[in-house]
Amino acid sequence: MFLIWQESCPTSGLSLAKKHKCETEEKQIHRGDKMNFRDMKIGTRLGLGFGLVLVLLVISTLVGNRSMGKIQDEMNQIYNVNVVSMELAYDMLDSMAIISRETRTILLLEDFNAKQESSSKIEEARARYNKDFASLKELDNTVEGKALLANVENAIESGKISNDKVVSLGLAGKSAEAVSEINRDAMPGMAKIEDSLKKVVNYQEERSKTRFNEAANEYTRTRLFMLIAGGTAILLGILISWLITFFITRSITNPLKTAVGVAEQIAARNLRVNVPANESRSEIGFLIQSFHKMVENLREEIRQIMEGVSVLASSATEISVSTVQFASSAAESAASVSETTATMEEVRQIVQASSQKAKYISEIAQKAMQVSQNGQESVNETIKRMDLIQEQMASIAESIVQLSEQSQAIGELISIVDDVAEQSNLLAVNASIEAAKAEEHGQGFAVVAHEIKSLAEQSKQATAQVRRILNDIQKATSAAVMATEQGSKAVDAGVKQSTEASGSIKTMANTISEATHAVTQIAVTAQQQLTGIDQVALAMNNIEQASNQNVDSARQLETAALKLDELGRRLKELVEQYQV
Amino acid sequence: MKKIVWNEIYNRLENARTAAERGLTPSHEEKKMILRARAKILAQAPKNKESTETHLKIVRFLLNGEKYAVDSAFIREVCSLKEITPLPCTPPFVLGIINVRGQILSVVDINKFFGIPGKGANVLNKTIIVHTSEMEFAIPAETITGAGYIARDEIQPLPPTLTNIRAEYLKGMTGEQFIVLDMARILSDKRIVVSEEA
Repeated sequence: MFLIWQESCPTSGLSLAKKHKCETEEKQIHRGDKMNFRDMKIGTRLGLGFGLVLVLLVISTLVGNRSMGKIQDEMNQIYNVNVVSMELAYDMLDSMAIISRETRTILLLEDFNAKQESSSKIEEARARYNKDFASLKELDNTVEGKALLANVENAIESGKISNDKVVSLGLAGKSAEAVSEINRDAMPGMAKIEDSLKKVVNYQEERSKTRFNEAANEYTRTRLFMLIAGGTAILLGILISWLITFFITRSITNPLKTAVGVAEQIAARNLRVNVPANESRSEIGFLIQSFHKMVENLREEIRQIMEGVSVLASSATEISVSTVQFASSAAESAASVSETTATMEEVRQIVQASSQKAKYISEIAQKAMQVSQNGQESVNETIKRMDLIQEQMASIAESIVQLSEQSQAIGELISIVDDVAEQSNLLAVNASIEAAKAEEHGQGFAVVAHEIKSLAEQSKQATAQVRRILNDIQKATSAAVMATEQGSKAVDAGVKQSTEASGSIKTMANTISEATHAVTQIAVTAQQQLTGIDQVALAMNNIEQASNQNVDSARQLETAALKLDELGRRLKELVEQYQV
Repeated sequence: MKKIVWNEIYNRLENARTAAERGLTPSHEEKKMILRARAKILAQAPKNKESTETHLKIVRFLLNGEKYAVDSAFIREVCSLKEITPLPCTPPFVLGIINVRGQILSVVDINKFFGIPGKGANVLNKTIIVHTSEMEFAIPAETITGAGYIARDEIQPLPPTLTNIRAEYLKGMTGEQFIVLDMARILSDKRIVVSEEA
């Protein structure tokens, strides 16, 4: 019993200790380590609570099951070992009875054959009990049982020896000796065997009883345990349910109330609300943290929206201004386009006029060609005339040179006259000297001499005059020669100029020809231009329509911009209601 | 451009031609006028009341810018000066010798004799032949301005600038700034005689 108790004790003890530990853990979670509990998610909390109950149930089931197994083992032992052992012992007793009976039969019977038969029966019975004894040995493992079986073996050995003696004596027909032998040895031996076997039987009976009692005890203990464990589980379940309801509700509702308060503040557009810090890692904690983040984000966003709205408002104002400018520019451009269209019409007329002018110029250029040919002929004629003039100039120069030479001859004559006058003068001086020598008589002579001297001086003056005139003539002829030379050079230059003029006129004729060609091209181009201008006019009409549409669009844009401006202002007012 | 009027030119040529013809042969009235004017001059009474006592007959001449006057009593004649033959080994004032109608005369430059540098290099184509009974030579001259009388008291003393230049050969200066040469002294001066020994 004690041994069995010892065996079963650790399991129950362990489970109890475990339960206690679990309870303390539970208490720790509830009271000691609130932060841990609070950090737990609701699912974890629920799982933890109900898991505890489940563990209790599992433990009780396991313990029950184990106890049941044990009871079954005891029963099996009782049935398979103890009962069989008892049967075997009884069978051996039976065999022993057979042996003793047959032994007596041998003694009683005279017939040898009968005796032999009984002997073989004895052998048979001996084989039976040997077999039974072997089985019994195998079944019993206990020390006590083995000792008992050893006694049985000893008794059987000794009994067998005495019995064999009796049998051999009986077979030999020595009945008296055999009887005495029976009485002396064989009987007590048999009794000993029976006694030892009975002891085995008793032992097995005793074991059966013990095991049964053990099983009964186990059953009682298990029932008690299961009652206690089940009750504890139910109680714990109720307690945990209540605790869960209380704490979880509280852990959810309190932060939720805070969240509601914050949400109401946000609803009232107060973003300055302070969201209490909640470091809990539960969903509610996350909710509060999310609220915190949301408020911060909202604050930041509202701030950004405010900035954006102010930018939007200013931009809208700018856009409004720009659209007004755009509208006026569009109107101006429309007006400009109209002007351009009108200008294009004027250009068209001008081009038409220029085309006509080009034709006219072409005709004139042909006339100019004719005129330039005439001019060239005239110039050639002029050059011929110039040559004639040149010849005339040469003859004039020759005449003038002759004149000059003749005046030189006059000069020679004048020298002679001058010389004569000089001589006369000297003569007059001599005469007057002679007259002075003649004193009174030479007075008339002196008068004549004086007169001659005066004549000589007059003729000298006259020759000086003539010489001056001749000088003048020389100068004049030189001037005339030079003038003639100039004239000749002028005529040369004229010839050169005329030649150049001829070249120029030729070039001019060529140029006029080119000009005529160019003017024809201009006329063609003007025609193409007219076509182009028509296309431009068409395009300008399209542009005019487009610009008119532009003006309409600009007006619509203006309206839209004003609306946008208004919207920006409203948005600003709206956003300004938020307290950031 | 100036237009040439040929008719006018022809007229002018014709006038010039007739004037030339007439100028060569003076008209009757012109001849008469000239002769009458001469007669008038000749009819005038001679004014020379100058006597040899009060007046000196002189011949004036120019030599290299210097004006000189010579007493006509010492003048044999005046004539044109041609072909002076230079004479070696003579003083600088002896220009050379000339041939006057077969008579050889030495030519004495008065300026060089007096040591006056003179100005200009005029052609000396006249000469005055001066003489005394002992001496005779030719004085070259540019121009002989003529003969005339001058009162003796009109001869002024020489200006101080000329006194150092052989003053003993000069008589003085006329009112017309002619230097009056003392020909008697010059002709009698021994220095003017070129002797072989000297």
